Amino acid sequence: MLTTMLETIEQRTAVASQESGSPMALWLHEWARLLLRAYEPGRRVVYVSAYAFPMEILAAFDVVPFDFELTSGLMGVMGGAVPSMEEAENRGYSLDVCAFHRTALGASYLEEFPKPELLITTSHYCDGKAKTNEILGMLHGRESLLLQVPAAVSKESVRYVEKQLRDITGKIGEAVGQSPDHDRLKAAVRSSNRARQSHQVMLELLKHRPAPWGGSELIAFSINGLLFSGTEVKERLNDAFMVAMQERIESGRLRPEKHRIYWFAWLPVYASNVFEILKEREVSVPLCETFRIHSDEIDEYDPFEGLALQCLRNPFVGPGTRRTEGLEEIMDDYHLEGAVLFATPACKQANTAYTLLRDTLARCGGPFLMLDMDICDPRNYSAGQTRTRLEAFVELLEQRKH
Amino acid sequence: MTGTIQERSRDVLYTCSYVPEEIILAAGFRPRRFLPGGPATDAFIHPNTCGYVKSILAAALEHGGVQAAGIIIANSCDAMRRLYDLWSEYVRPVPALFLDVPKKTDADSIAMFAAELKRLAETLPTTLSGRGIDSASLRAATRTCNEIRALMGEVFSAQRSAQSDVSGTRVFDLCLAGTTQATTDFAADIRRFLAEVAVEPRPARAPRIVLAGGLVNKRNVVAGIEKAGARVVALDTCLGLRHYEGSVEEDAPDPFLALARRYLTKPGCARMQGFEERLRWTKGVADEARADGIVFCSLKFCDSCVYDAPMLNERFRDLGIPFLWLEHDYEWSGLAQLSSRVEAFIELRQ
Repeated sequence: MLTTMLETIEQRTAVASQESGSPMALWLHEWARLLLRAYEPGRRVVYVSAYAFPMEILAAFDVVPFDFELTSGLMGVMGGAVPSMEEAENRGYSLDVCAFHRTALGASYLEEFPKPELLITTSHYCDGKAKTNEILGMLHGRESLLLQVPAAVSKESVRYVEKQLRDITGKIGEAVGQSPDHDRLKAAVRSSNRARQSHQVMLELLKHRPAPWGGSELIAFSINGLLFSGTEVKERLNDAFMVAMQERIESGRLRPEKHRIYWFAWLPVYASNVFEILKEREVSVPLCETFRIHSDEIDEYDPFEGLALQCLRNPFVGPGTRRTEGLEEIMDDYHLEGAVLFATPACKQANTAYTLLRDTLARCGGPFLMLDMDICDPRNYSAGQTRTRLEAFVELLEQRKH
Repeated sequence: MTGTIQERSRDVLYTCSYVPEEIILAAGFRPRRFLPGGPATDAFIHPNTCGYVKSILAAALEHGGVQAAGIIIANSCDAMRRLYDLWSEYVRPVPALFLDVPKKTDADSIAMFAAELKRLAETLPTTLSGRGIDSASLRAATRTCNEIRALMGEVFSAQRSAQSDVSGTRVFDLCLAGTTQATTDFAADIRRFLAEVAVEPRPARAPRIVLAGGLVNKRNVVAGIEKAGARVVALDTCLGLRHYEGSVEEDAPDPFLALARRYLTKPGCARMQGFEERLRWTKGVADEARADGIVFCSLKFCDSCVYDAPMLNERFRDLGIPFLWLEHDYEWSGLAQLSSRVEAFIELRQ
């Protein structure tokens, strides 16, 4: 079922990306192609948490990266996650387990996911991801690795993460029967540095009023786009979104905009009215926390140290206040009036400190909404409740403006 | 919370069995596992957070505050690290210190944890106005803790012995007392307990149950199992066996490395990587105690346990060991329902 779904996406987006040059179509096309490659005979698949682990390392090998959470998200987008979740629930996984993880576990029991050679994840962002990685490793009879990223940046922690990255690189080589290629790693790091430059341009363009891009596409791309880090695909995707933004600004084809807000955490992947309501009420989301840049360019001659620092400086590592660092300045720069925290019930690491986020917003003078909704399980979705909460929030924004 | 106001001002609270009591003792404080008894709160934290974290916040913010020199919060789980954020921001009178505990047990992780423990030993006395920690004070504290571990080892051994009828409820009460008592008082209590046990060997004829899982903070479930006619022969929880298993090398050249090694390699809780090792450990506990079943108890919204439980259930079933998973909310508000499930489970074993 998953492969059929992917083939459909690949075919539909192939035409759309060529005819319209739509960056969204291009992105979905590349994603579907990559996932389909994981099912080709003879391919070496490595499960990896693409939004947390330095993908440049995988780009230096002939492997197909497969992120079980992002793929679960895609299944949710296509309306195909529920049967997998039900499979996991029937096997004892509670509804308190993250819906992405239930989908991944169920899909693995149903043999919908490809067989990996190795599984890699990180200690950040959440506990559930590391647990799922280990369970999937057991189901497939393959080794599961954890990159432990300490809370503080120190000489010891940089050395510790760097050493783990070197060890994991060696393990990938052993698992797929290929020696680590340092020139390819250098090339991947160079590619990431170029993508970082276009990312910076995109961040500048997003300051434009009305916003030339944003909302669900921005949030989803900010996370899922990282699957291609260290490859030319990521550079092409960044360029495509950047050019599209420039064209919108130049042509004036921009959505009307009354309010601009910041977005914390993730988004619902199934069909919901969240971004429709925001569009109706002319509210833009020109920036989300997952699209900010937190690390420097990486020295291609010493890639492991730079990649270790990239992990250590992730705002989801360490104290929750890292998520609000520089927020006041950002609120000014991007003319943001408030913020939404998308709170999927199982995501303790993102939700638990909501009071910190709320109070920081209050200090910046903006209203804050914690939008309780599941990330991938449409069975708990209520369009009416979502509308009531979002409209009340928009009214608050309006009151503050007048 | 026990002791006089003056004594409580020397208390350093901690929230996880991975926090070394040795460091707290060496700085001249009294280590106390923080197990507040009041109701939980949703006012400062997302409702889908475990009841333990919510109760800690409630105790600090809503029920008259906390009297202690400070608190050490380990990054046991996502909820705990966010508890540290909230405590630092909103519970200012009682300083919080953060302890970063790796989830892995390899040599590099042990070395990293040793560096973290050294940092804690440097900051704890200065932040909480304690005594500076040196090798001698740390070694003395290590000896004290090792002595208690050895004594508790005898208690657990008596509990699982088929030649005696040591009530699991009594052992649980002793473990709970250990979270609040001064080390010398606790050691004396354990000795008294052992002396009583030695006097009355009385084999029990009842289903033998291992209570496993995460934090079990109240005696109700142990008492419930025993009231239903079974005997709890081992407490494989973070206040029980896992808290006391394995000693710290006393004459190690680097005492922090010795502490890190013991704490990271002691039988792991569900937060750690290594499901197979945990399974082997609990299976070993059940085998040694000749158990007829395992009751696995976890806190509602405890991610670490909720991901482990289905796989544990499946694997123990395959091994022919009956397994019951119970979830509690720290306040044990659904006790009657839990008791019915326990009674049915025990009845099947009789």
